[in-house]
Amino acid sequence: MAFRQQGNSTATTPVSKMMRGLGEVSLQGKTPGSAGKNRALFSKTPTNGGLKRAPLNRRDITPSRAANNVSCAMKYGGDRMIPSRSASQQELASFLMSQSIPNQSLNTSKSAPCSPSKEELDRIKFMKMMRTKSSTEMCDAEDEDRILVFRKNNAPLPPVGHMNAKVLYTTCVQPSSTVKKASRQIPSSAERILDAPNIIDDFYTELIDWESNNVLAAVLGYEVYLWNPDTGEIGLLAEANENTDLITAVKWAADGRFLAVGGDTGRVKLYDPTKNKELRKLDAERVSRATCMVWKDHILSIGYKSGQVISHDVRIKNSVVGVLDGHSQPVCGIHWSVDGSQLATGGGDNLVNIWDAQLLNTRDQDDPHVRLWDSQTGTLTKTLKVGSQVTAIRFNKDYNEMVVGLGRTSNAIKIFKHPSYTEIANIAGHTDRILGLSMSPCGQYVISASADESLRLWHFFKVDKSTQLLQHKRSKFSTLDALR
Amino acid sequence: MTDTKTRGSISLKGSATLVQEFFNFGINSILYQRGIYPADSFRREKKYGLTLLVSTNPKLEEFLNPLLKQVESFLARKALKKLVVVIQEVKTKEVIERWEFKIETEDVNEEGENSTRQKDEKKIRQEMADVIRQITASVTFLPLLETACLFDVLIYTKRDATADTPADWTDSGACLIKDAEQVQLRSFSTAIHNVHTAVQYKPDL
Repeated sequence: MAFRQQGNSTATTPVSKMMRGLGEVSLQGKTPGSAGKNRALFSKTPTNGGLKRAPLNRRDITPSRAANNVSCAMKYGGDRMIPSRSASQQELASFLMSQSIPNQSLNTSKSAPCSPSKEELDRIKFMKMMRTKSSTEMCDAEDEDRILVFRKNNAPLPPVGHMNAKVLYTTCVQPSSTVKKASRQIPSSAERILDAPNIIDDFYTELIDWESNNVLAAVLGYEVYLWNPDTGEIGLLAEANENTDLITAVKWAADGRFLAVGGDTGRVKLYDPTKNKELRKLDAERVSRATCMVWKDHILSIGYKSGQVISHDVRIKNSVVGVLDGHSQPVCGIHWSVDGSQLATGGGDNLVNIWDAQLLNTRDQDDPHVRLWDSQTGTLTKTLKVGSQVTAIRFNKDYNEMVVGLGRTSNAIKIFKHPSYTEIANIAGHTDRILGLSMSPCGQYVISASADESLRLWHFFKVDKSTQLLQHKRSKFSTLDALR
Repeated sequence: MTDTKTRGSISLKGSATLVQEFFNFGINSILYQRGIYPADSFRREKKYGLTLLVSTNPKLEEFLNPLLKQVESFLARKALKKLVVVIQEVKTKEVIERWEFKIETEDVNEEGENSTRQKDEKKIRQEMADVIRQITASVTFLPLLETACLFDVLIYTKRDATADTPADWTDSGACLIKDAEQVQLRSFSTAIHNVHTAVQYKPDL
């Protein structure tokens, strides 16, 4: 019964907590022996009824230590400096600091219970505590002084896309730091193989696209199929007129609501995949085969076999908003830079053109090398010799790795590690050259299209299940577990 | 006896060089720690017993080298009272951080009598290292810079000593921050130049 009373008296309802903060703490401090003793008893009865009514506070959880401290101080008679925590109003202080909304019941001054300048006072108190002072008090330049600035606003600007805040957090957030690099198994066999009859054996095409939506669009000759990896469903989206309109490129819009389908004649159609309906046609004059496409919001940029790049604004009737003539050979790769300010196009003429600036990667089609450029400075940073024609490149952000698809005669997929660009895997699976690579929206899977009439799904970038990154991605995209 | 005397003595010119060198590492440290430029554009360099980061961006070097050279000449003429690194947002041009190095110069002559002071160079470097260490540590309390920022360097000089100022310098305001919070960092002294460091920043309300 005595325990129960004790429990009641220390129950931490907000009011009693406040009261103790104001008065009782110091009172308890003055009678350390008895308080300590009581609490020590109290600690042996964790199932005390009084406790259940209110959450534990720190004082209740570690009572024995406080009692020891007190007895020590008494024993040694102040020979050592032992901070007397019970005398300082720690709880009140921390409560006052953490409380952002001015709590009127805690305002100890009765004359001004709800003064409007309370917040301001708090701020000043906080600043005092942090030993800071307002610069308005500072006397700045004296009269006889001159303030000069060196080449005003002429310090070089930080590179485009540079995020200041990242500096603090570059380490330990990537899964590569939790999954040991050496022990990561890169599967050498495909997770799944899809049959792809009639796939066009030409890498000046973009036959698969998965990246922006968790539905894979694949072109097989004159037909566009959608494959949903969650459900395994396969559906025919569109069928083009045989003999006249070979489909050569597909691209999802960023939100996955539209699919752009480009054909041999240069005509590009937009489809709504949920309704299997053609929404509109995009035509331009004197065009040739559409070889690659890229979306940026509502702008669709299309690269053509003639070397031309035409940008359409799909919202307006006369959709052509830009024509870029920079290549004498077919355009084979087109990408926006990360911040969306620049468009890079690569052509069969071994040129990479950067429109309105730059991008990080390029592929050279007739050349068994991968060249990496630092787009900010325009310098060549790395040349890799891979032994066969490079047909596709994708980058993986989570692991900082680069996947390269190769042509004849190796027909392999290679993975390189950034920034050293050492080869960490060479996967031979396809029996003919790779035509294209596409990455899943979660970044873990890569699908490859090959001239051996198959699509293979690879689980190259397994993310550690414990990392938050995966959680984040799970919530963002529908789960890929159905694949396994 | 004479040997120790010359080793410990420091002239105005020597002091100016030391302080200029400190500004070089100090400004680079600020730019690195505050993330004004990407971390991979800095290389490591051993100095003051610390590993410091120095920019490798050629354009930045082109900017800083003449600046520091001219600062050194101001220092050697006892004309520099303050050097301020102002960090402002690129888009709004709003000043969000000011790193202030206040310089007090002792009354010494350039040549002849009363031209040197006694202080061990090792001790000076130790003091400078302490300031740089504090600059590094300051990221813990400074608010994160979330948008792209750029920096400017201001100097406060004595009016009568700026007759032949190089054309790179133009008159400017003080770029103060309203209701800024200020944290005073350590000071160091070469026995000729006393440099007090402080950082003012826009409070994160």
